[in-house]
Amino acid sequence: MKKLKLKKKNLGDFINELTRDYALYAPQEKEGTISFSLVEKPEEITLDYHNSDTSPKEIFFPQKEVILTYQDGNSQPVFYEGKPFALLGVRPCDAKSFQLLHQVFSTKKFEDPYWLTRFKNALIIGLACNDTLPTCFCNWLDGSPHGKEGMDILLTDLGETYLAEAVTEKGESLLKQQKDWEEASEADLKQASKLEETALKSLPPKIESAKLKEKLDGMWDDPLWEEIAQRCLNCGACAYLCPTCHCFDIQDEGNEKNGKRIRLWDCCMYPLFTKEGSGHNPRKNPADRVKQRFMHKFNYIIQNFDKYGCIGCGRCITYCPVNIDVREVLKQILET
Amino acid sequence: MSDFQEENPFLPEPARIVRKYDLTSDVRFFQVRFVDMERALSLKYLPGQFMMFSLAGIGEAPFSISSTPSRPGLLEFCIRKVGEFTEALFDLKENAIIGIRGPYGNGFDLERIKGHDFIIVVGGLGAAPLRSLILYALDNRDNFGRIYYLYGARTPADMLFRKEFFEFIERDDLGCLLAVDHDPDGDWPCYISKVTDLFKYVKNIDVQNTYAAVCGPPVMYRFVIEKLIALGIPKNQILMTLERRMKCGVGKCGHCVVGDIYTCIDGPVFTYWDIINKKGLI
Repeated sequence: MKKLKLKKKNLGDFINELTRDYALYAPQEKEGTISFSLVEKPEEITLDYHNSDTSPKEIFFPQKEVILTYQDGNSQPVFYEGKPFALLGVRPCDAKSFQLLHQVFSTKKFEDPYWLTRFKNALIIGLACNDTLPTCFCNWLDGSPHGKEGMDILLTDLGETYLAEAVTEKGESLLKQQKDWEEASEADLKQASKLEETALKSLPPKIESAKLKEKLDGMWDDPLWEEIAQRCLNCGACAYLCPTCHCFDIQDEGNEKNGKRIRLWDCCMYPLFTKEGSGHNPRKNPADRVKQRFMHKFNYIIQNFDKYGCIGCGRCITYCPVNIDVREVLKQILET
Repeated sequence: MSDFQEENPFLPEPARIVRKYDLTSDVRFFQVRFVDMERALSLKYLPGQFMMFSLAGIGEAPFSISSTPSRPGLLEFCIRKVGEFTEALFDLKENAIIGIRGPYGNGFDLERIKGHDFIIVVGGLGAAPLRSLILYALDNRDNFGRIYYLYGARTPADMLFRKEFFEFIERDDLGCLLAVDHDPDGDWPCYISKVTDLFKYVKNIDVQNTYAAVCGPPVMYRFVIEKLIALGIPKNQILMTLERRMKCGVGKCGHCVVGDIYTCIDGPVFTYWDIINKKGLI
C-alpha cells in the first residue's frame, strides 16, 4: 500500500478536492465544543485537536433521523441522498467504532438501510494520535493510538507534513491520484513508529482485558452493580457520547394525516427503555441497568460480534457528572 | 434504489381493519388484512410470531398474532388497551387503514412439536399468542398426540375467546380445561382455581414425548414450570413465549436485548433450558 507525504501547506488543496466529490466532515470547534461538521472551507477545520467531544458516529447514525414521511395513508421512506461522506481526521478509536456499528446494522437477517445508505460509500481518513489524553485507554481494548482499523487512509502528523498511508484499496486509489505528493522515506516511517511508541507509552498500563468476559459471566449477582448504581444518576450522558452505543427509539412527529417517523438515539440507563405495555419492567432497578451497560460492552457484545463494545475513547469518563470511571469499573471486575 | 433500500424493514404496509369486537372490558379482537390481497393470501407466518402495528402520528407497537397460518387471509389480534398507542387503535372503526410490518420473531417450531403430546398453558392475555398455536394444532389434529389446553383467567369476565373455548370443551380430541380465580356472579360452569391446579386433570400423556407451551403474566411462569417439571416433561420441551418492549422488531434498536440475544429475532419463544442458561430472560 502507498505511503506518501502531504505537506501541511497543501492540506487546503486536498480538502478542496475532497469537498468536490464528498460531503466532507471534519473536526470543527464551535462555542468551545469540537465535533465533526460539514466542511465548506479548509480554514474551518481543526486537526490540531485531541478528540471531538461528540462521536463522529452521528454522521452515519444521526441522533435524530427522519426514516419516513406519511401523507393520507401513504408512507414514503426518506434516505440520505447527498454526496457520499468523507470524514477527515477521525481518531483511531472512533474509526474502530464504525466497524462494530457496521456489524450491528448489517447483520444479514435484517440490514438497516438507513445506516447502509450513509456508511456504505463513505471515505474514512484517520489521524493518528501522537498525543493522548489522561482519559484515553484504547490500548486496553485491542486499539492503538496509531491503529488503522476502520480507515481507508491513516494520516500521521510528522510536523511539517502528514504521512499518508493507504489502508484499503479505496484509500490506495485516492492516494494514487495525488501526483504531487512525495513518497514517504524510511526516515519518515521511522519517525511515525517512534511517535506511536511514545503515544503508547503515555497510555495507562494494560490490564488483563481478555479475562473481562469470563469474569463477567459469573457476576450477574455481584454487589458491584448496586455499588455503581448508588452513584449513577441514570442521566445517559455516557450512552449519548459513546461511539459504540447504537440503541434507538422510533417516534412519530405530526398528526394522523401528515407527518414523519423519526428514529432517535435511546439509552438503556432510562427505566422506560424496557418498560412493557403491561407495566412490567424487566430492568426496573438502577443496578439492573448499570449491569446491562457494562455487561453489554464487555460480555454480551463479544458473544455477538467478537469485539469489545468499548473503544477506550474516554468520553464517558470526561463527561460523567458523578465521575464514574469505566477504567476503575474494569479493574474492579478483574479483582472480583 | 439499492437492494437494501428496496427491502426496507422499517416500512409499514397498508392493512385494513375488517372487523373488531370486544372480548372483555379492555381487550379487543381485531381482524386485519393487507390491502394487497395477494400479499394477504401469501403471507407465511408461525404461531408465536408478532407484527408491528403502525399508526400515523402515534408510532408503532408489537402485537402477537392470534390467528393461525392454517387459515390464511386474515390476521387476528387480541389487544389490551394499556396506553397511548392502544387507545388510538381502539378509536379506529372498521375499514380504517393502518400500517403493519412483519411477521417477526422465531415463532413456535412446529416441525419439532409434531408427533408429540402437547400441553398448552395460558394465563390471562397469554391467550393472544397461544390461540394461534391451539387453532393450528386443531387444524392439523393428526400431527399431534394428546392435546391439553389449560387456561386460567381472573374472573369469567376476563376470559378471552370464551365462546370459542367453550366449544373446545365439547370436542373429544382435546382436553380443554378452563379456570377462573374468582367467580363473583356464581355462574361459572368450569373450574374455580388457579391454572396450576388444573394439572391434576392432565392424564395419559407420554411425558417424555410431550411438549408444553406457556404464556401468561411474568409471575405465572415459575409456578407453571414447577408443575410441568413435576409431571416429568423435559426442560427443552417446555416452550415459553416472552414479552419485551420493542421498537424495531428486527434486532437493531436494542430494547429487547437480553444478554447476547434479541427477543425480537431469537425469541420471543424460548425453551426452559434457554431460560435457565440466560440470566434475565424472566
